[in-house]
Amino acid sequence: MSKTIFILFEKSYLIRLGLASLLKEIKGAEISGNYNSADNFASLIKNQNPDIIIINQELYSDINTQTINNLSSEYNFRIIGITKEKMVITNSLFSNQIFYKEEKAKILNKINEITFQLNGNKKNLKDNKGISERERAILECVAKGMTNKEIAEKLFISAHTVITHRKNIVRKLGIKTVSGLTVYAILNKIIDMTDLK
Amino acid sequence: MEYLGLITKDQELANLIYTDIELLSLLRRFNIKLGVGDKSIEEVCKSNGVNVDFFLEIVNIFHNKNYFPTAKLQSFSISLIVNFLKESHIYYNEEMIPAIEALIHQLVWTGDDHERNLKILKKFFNEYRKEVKAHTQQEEETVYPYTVFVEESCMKNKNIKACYEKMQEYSITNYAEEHNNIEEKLTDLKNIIIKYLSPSRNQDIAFKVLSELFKLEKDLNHHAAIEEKILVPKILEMEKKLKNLNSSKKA
Repeated sequence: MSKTIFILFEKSYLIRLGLASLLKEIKGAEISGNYNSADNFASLIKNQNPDIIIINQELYSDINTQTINNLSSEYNFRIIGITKEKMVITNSLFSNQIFYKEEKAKILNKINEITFQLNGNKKNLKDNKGISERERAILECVAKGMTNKEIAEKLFISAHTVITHRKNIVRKLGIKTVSGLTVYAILNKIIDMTDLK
Repeated sequence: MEYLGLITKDQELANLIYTDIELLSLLRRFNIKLGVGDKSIEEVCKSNGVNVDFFLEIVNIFHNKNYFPTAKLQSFSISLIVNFLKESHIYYNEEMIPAIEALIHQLVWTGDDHERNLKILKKFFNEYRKEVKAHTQQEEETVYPYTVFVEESCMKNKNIKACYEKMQEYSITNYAEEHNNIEEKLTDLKNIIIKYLSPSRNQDIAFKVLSELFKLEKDLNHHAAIEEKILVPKILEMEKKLKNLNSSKKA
């Protein structure tokens, strides 16, 4: 189970506390911050990169719309709004909303549902283990027997970057040795048999 | 610590094989032949001149996943341990690896893939075979004789000076540092076959190759553990003793 990072914005101390204790019942939930105002909203999001933002509707309306739109295009978070009464929020950025009067089970359900969706997405990202174009280019050089220094010079990158790429290739493919990587490169037509010395 | 399910010397040797067929390869290494009747492990060991306590420990390490009694294993003599390691080398180089190689040669693919796949697999495994051979040869020619020499000098308190000089040239620390990992290529090959190689027409052979690779890997892990956790610390201890003996002789 992967971690889900929550950040809370709510004026009422008691409600913040209540939410924090409720989140303890959600598997993998971690609260990165708990605030009574939405000042510095943008920098908090940038620093903490939360998965789910739970925010009071009134605090939310203090934030510049443009700021939120910019953030949402750059960061991958979901928003759950908190309102006093049951009311309709038309904002498409809101995944769901919870009310002051709502029962615990219902709130838990809503949060769980979003967490579940998020983790499903994350898993899909992780399953996509194919190597990137850049890594493919590096793998080609490795399979041809080039040293890190030679690869760095050829691709105009630092030797350090080459090493990082190589580590990622090894991690993604589960193949450690140069001979093994060469076999992979041939099987996937990254290099040709005739390239072998 | 009490271990459940440990094999004991009063059990029938035949039972050992019924319980865990993988232990069969160990019998070979201890030169125990089949046709054991209903003799106990102790009886069979005695009649074959095998140290029964050592045999039991090795059998139990191979049979029980988490069993590795370091202190107990370190109480056995270096020559006993080294002999077993050498026998294992023979098993790898002359049995396991050729058997896997022969299986790889039997793999068949459809169309153009065949020539290419077989060629690269053969090449890869050939390199691996040479790597294992070189690794084991170096141990047999340099490392093991050195450890036996150290033990002898230490135990009999003779040739201290000669042994000390040898230690200056090559100590077990060198070995521990350069002891390279011959399992890496094996792991790669497993992954290539499981994930990246297009399916061969004879999948039964591919499955056999894999199961042999896993078997070899497991054996090599035990082997490396005995070298790194038993042989090396034991010799380190003796090297310290040698150093003291040498300086007291000078004094």
